Amino acid sequence: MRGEKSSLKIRVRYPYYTVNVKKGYYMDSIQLLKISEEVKKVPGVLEALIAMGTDTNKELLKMLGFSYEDLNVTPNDLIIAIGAESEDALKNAVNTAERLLEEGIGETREYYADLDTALSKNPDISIALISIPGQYVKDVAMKLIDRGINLHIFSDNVPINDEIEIKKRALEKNVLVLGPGAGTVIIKGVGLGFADKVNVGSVGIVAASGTGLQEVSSLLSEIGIGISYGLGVGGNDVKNAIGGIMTIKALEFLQNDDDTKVLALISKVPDRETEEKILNYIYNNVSKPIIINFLGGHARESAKGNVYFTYTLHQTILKIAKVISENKYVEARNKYLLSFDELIRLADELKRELSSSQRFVRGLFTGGSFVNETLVILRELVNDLYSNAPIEGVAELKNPFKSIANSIIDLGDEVFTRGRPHPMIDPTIRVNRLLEEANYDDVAVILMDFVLGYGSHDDPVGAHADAIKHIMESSKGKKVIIAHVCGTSEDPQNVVEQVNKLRSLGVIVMPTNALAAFLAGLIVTNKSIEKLKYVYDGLIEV
Amino acid sequence: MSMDKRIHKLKVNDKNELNILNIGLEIFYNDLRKQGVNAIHVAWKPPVKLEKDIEDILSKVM
Amino acid sequence: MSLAEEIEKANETAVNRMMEAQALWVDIGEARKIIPGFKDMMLTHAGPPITWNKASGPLRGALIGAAILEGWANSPDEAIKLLERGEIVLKPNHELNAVGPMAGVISPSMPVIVVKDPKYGNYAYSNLNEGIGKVLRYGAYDKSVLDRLKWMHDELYPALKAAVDLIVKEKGGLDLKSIIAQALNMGDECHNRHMAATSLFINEVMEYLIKADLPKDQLLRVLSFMKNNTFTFLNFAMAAAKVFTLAGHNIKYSTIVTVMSRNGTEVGIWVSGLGNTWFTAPAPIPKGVFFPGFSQNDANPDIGDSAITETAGFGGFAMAAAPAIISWVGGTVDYALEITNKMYQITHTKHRYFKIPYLSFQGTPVGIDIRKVLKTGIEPTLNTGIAHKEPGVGQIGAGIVSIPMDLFKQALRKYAEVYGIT
Repeated sequence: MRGEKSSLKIRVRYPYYTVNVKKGYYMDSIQLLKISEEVKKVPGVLEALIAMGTDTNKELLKMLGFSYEDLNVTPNDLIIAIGAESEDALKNAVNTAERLLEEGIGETREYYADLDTALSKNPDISIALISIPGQYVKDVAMKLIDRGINLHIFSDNVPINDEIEIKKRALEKNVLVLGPGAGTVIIKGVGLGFADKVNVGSVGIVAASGTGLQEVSSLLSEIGIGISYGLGVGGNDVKNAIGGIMTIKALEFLQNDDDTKVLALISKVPDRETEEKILNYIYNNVSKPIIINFLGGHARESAKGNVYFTYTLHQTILKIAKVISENKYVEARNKYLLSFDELIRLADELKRELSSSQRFVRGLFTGGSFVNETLVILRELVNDLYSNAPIEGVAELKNPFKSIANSIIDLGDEVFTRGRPHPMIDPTIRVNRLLEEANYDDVAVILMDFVLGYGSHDDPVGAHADAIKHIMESSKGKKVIIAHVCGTSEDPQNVVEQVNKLRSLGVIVMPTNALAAFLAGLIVTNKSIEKLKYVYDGLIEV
Repeated sequence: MSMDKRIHKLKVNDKNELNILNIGLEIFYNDLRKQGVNAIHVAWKPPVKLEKDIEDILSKVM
Repeated sequence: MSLAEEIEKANETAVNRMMEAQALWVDIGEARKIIPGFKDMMLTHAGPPITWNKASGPLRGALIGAAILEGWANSPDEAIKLLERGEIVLKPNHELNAVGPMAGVISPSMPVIVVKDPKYGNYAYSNLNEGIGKVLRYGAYDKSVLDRLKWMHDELYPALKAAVDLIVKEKGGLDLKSIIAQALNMGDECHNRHMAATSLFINEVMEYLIKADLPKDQLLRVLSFMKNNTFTFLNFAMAAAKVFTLAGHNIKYSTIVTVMSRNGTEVGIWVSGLGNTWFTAPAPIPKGVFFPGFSQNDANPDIGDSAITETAGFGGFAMAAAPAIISWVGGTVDYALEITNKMYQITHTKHRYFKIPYLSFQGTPVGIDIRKVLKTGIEPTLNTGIAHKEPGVGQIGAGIVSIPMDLFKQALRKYAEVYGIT
């Protein structure tokens, strides 16, 4: 309130404001986001932030002009900050916020206040999708496993020891555990978590990488190759601590599934021992054709006729098409491949619009696998490569909030997502970062992914449109923005429309992430043309 | 045999329906409903934080 | 047997007794004559022990009114002096096996009903309900209040006495448990909504009031009074709840709550296995809807022995049985269901006799277990009337309140001490 004595010592830029803390008041970040949006719609409201008191949100509070000292708030407390033009508007906004917090947003349908009641009323659950904070997952998971329910654990930050216990118990009970940290699961056309609407077909994918699964399943679906199952096993399964338990279990399931004719395994490079275990399993038990994509892995020779190795998601798609049929392979090449010469030409064109001081690439990604794949390609093409999710040959970006030289940022990383919705749902952090990166004179190219599908924002490109327009129209000098859109034409957001929208904004849209990364690399590289062709043959062509 | 039966619950076709329990983010539940899948939602809240001595006593009396 | 097993067994015993206990209304008489331990110059009250200087407005008002009613003081100022000097002994109702709604003040000459449990041999007592509006239990003490109390003593009490004597002669007493069970199926929860229960009560008692051969105008005044006060049955329900919980009290090892009560400043609980030990904490202010002209700022902290109904497994715990109460306490029907569902998680079992039609006739949640309260973090939730914090104003609204977690922590720590848990 205006002039109200506040023990919080707040200096704000709104004529009328309130900052309240509800101690111990928990609500999930998506609900809170919706509520903030509703409150912002109240006439006269200038800004509203209703969110849990994590460090990230406290930073956001500052950014939005609610500066404070001594704000005694923990991540388990709720912050309600509202700025308005008038006292009435503020009062209305506060009432709206209180009402929405009380009643919740959205209709209440088959909705239970607690797990035990839900389980007793619904004895025949096939699979449970768990997306609660990581430290609480174990108790819930064990309870479900003991009842023979398969799990899709979307949550990340599950302590590794918990994960080990969960998977051991699951093996005993013969239950599949997909995750933790599995963003995507597809079961006969039904998407759990972040998933695209894909056709049902005969390709079964095991993926230790959610966006990898989304990319491959989407692009295959768009050329009429359907997916039987997309089983995300999460990022830790291929570490020695876990030993690939569920990766193998999932492969076993697909090998035994009559509807699956072709298998694919997509993962970052497993720990050495685990890799041996997995490959041993495959060579001895998988008889169907299987395409194995260890992202960023060294070149491998296949020891059996049905086993193929690829190194990028892009290659995986082409290889699967090849295995399915010659026709599909041709279709895939037409749709998803650009020739080396075409790419060189395009890069030269784009380079011409840049000044000589512009020499760096900045990648802002919502999908962890896209970061991975981009680094795999860029480390061959540029020096001084940094990332907050580095791989071998890439330096760690010490402060993820501040890019250096060539930086590829994983915005889905914990440091950005604590207490906030994932960037695929909420573009706020990326939009702000995009504007920041575009301000640097030495930045030449900005790379982005736009991930569609269930779970994602309902118009990812639209959410960035203003920022992109601002950059394109800026007098500060040209920036090349390269993007790729991961999605299908059946997705709620419609991939064709999203691509068109991007192009109309002047963004260069590539059909796959690998091509986008390669093109970006070509623009800033100083490697020889022979080296570039070598990289193209190794990572793009099949 | 029992392994197949358990994981068999993942199969979905015209007759065999998939029944999904969603616990955590409500938007995943909404998306499942949009896809016409049988789903229920559990609105999870974090368990209470108790003092150590209370936790200790509780572990002995429950 | 392990400790946990002992506790389960004890709780099973305690709650079984709570459910199997009977409640017959068998008598009515002046408090000084009827309640063992009631002395002269004594006033009992709702909630845990309290002193005059800590008492809130509504309790003070009721104490002042009672002192004047008894003739110990001729004016509010004189009454206050007596109370300040400690010349009147204040005692919690529960310590004499009595209960009273809101301020719950019982004075020596007030008529109190006697409820007996023939199965386990316990007796409980309560005063008569004055009605709504400006009443003693909300801290009002002007002439209209005192006049009404005098009338209740002079006309209502003898009428009810004559009736109950006939009832006892004919069938041993009036079965209150059966009225409660029926009322729960008729949209009452028997704490804040007694429309059906009061109707059933008047139905039962009518015949005997007529047989009592009272002067017609007295009979009509008595009937009119009870009919116009939908809360007539509340005090009977509370006394019944008290004998139910008495049956489950003092069971060694049991962690079941047998008293929950508030005095307008503090809220207190008793646990079966810990005897008559009070565990107390500041009483929260109920949240709800307010009558025009009043708001949350005017509200007094929670007050009353009526939480005994929830302790016995009905009242707010059966909120799902009384969706009509929800508009009164500002929630939604789904909210009422959610609360009842939550209460299942902190109670021992579902009541064998009190059923909720809306929930497919599931039994009400009964037997609050302090262990479950702590484990789940769910506090018992009740609905209640809200009093103005100033004495003499009366009821200003109705709402929902929870019993603070801290009480259960205190109780558990004491339990560990008493039962030697290290």
